[in-house]
Amino acid sequence: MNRVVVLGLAVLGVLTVAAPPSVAAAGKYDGSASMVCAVSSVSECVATGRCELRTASNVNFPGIIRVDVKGMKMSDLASEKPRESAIRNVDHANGKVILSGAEGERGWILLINETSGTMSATAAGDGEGFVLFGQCALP
Amino acid sequence: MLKWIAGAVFIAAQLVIGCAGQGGGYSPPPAMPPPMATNPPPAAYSPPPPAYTPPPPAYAPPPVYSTQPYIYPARGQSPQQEESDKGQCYGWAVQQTGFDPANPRVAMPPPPPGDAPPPQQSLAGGALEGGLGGGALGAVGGAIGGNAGEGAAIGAAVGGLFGLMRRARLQEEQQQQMQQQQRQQQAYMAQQQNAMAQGRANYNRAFSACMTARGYTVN
Repeated sequence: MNRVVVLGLAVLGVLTVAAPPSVAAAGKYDGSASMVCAVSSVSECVATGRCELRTASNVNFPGIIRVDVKGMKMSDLASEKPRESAIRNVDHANGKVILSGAEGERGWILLINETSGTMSATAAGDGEGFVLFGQCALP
Repeated sequence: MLKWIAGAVFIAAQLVIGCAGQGGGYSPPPAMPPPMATNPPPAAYSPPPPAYTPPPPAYAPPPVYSTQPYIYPARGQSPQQEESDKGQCYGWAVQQTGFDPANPRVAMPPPPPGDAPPPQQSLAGGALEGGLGGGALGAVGGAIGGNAGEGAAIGAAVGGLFGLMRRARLQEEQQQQMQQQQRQQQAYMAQQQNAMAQGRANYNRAFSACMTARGYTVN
């Protein structure tokens, strides 16, 4: 009997250790449900290396966006004008969901910590770049 | 009695007539001397020399010059002769100054561009470009996903979040550029007005010199 219990515990331990880390680290902000993200800070950078702190409205970016990973789109919640971005790619890496896409002459990447919901995003253009930080929540 | 009253009325009427006329009686001294006694005859009239007119300030409106100065035929020229002289002096003054009051133009460089869009706008991914580019990219994305029309609609109709971002410094630069263009246009207009006024003044001087040489008094 004791041998059976010991063997079962050993198997459970092996399964626990061998489990995929992504499954183990998956949080509530993994994109399975749509999220609402607020932008807290924006930096505007130019090719010379100089960056300046801005606000979302300064750079014509919405202060609050909805991230719908399943629907492969992001939309503006703070403005009456409809602004949407199509999500081209979705990746999961080390407990982060990474979204990317391209618009106009810019490419962008938005990263959300699946556990804490913190958001980081970059948008790169020709000789310019924006770095955004914020916090996501589940409505 | 009736004769006495009539006589009194007659005497009173004579007194009134006598005061009004020059025949006699009391006449009060004139407040001002008669104008003809102090003014010289027309032939001997000489206008005062023209005063120097300083150039107008940079942003002041152009002064209004009379296109036809006052001309007096000092040698008794006939109106026909005066018109002939005016025409010849007009042509001579235009030839000398290059300014034609009938067609006032001044040689100026072309005005600064005012309506051209700032060149940086094409790099900013503006609203139009964001919409167009978003449409193209949306179409590509939709085509990859099997629905090109829907992808294009998402990209073009609503405008992207990141594609419509604008650099705050770029907006400031555009505002500064617009203000600079406005200042340049104002300076250009003022310069043009000054050149126009200067050309007209030169023409008037040349015309006056010509008419003066032909025996007219010009002012």
